[in-house]
Amino acid sequence: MRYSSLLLFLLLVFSSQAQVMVKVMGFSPTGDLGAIMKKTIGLELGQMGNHLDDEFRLRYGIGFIAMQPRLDTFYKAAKNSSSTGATFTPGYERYEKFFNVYGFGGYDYIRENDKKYKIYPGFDILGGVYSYTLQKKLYNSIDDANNKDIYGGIRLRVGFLYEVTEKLNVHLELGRTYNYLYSPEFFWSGNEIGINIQYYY
Amino acid sequence: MISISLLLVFSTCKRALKDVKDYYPKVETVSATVLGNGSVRMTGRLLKDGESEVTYYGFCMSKQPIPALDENQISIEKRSTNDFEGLYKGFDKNTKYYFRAWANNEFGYSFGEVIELNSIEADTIAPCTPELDKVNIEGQNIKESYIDVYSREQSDYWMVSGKANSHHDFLFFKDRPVTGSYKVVTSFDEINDYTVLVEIRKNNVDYTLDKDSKVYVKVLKNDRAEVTICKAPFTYVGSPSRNYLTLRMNYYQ
Repeated sequence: MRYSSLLLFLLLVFSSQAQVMVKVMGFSPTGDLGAIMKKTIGLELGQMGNHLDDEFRLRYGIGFIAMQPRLDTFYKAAKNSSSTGATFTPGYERYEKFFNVYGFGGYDYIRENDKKYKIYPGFDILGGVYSYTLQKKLYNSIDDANNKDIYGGIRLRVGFLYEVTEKLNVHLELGRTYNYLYSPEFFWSGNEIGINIQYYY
Repeated sequence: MISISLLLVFSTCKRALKDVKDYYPKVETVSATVLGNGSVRMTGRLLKDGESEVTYYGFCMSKQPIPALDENQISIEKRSTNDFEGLYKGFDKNTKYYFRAWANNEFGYSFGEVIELNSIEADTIAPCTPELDKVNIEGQNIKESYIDVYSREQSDYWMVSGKANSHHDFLFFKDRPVTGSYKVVTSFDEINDYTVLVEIRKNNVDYTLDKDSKVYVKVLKNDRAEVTICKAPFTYVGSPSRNYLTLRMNYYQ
């Protein structure tokens, strides 16, 4: 109920702008996150300005990405140091229900020409909430915690625009995100490739 | 501007590895060799570090078919070499044991294949039956009692010493010997868990028992042990001549 209300609200907001974008993207976690999480599909819904009105086109909206771990169990060892050396105690980490909801806002720079195809750079500022369940066993104690917190980041992109009609544009976008989680402190990043449909009415 | 954006998008892009196993070390359990003294020498090899550097590797052992990381763990800090060794001692008779190598990096740990050994027993019977207190030196059988036989920890070694009328024997083990056979080495640097250095002092001249001879140790009850060296060629320092020695000595802890 809460989510459907939010969706309705956003649609109303975007309808008032009459410039709606829907983006479906493949998200590939990289770096340390890439070792843990599989590639996944993300969805974004938002408002996108008309590049015919302004070379610097504003966009903003919300997005959702859910991720699945690459292994059911990640085996980790806890190191116990002593004067005679080190020993290792077996442990593990199990992730479940890793998802994040975020808001984004940014600009694209599109130089107008008389062609139907255009290429443009852009960026977004991101901020959102993530949530995941982590069951962790180290040093013979099992810790089962649901982690929720906020994160922030930036996204850079290169897009290819195709003007299908005066009201309908299709974009192919390649992007890269860099995010910072506050607790536990963790940098994560990912690559995106998405199809973005923009409609004016 | 577009090219700068392209550069930013695709640079510093540490892509996820296709196979998740590639993040972890790849390690091989090369061999498990039963030594003459009944211990098992393990050898392992680190084939790949994985996505971060391996800092420790080692072995684990169990009576169960899949040894866990913390079962009888031997842990070795990684140095320059990818090959590593460990030694297990003290096995129950007629029991099957399972061994495997492991390695650990930042992402986690992984194992090599399991090697199983059945009925690990020491080669305890000396291939000669020397008479106690009878010593064959330079072809002559001499009835000679040890005046003083003892063992003790000395410096970095465990020394067994026996003093007879005409000679004095020193056996240097790395640690307190267990039942089994030990291969003879000729320098202190070569002494390890399954080798021994034997010095024989006669008329104030030191002889060293020749390399690859064998010393047999049988640990008896009440912390008592018997050491046997039979038909052991030794070299007189500075002379190519060779002699033979047969002796047997009992020592107490």
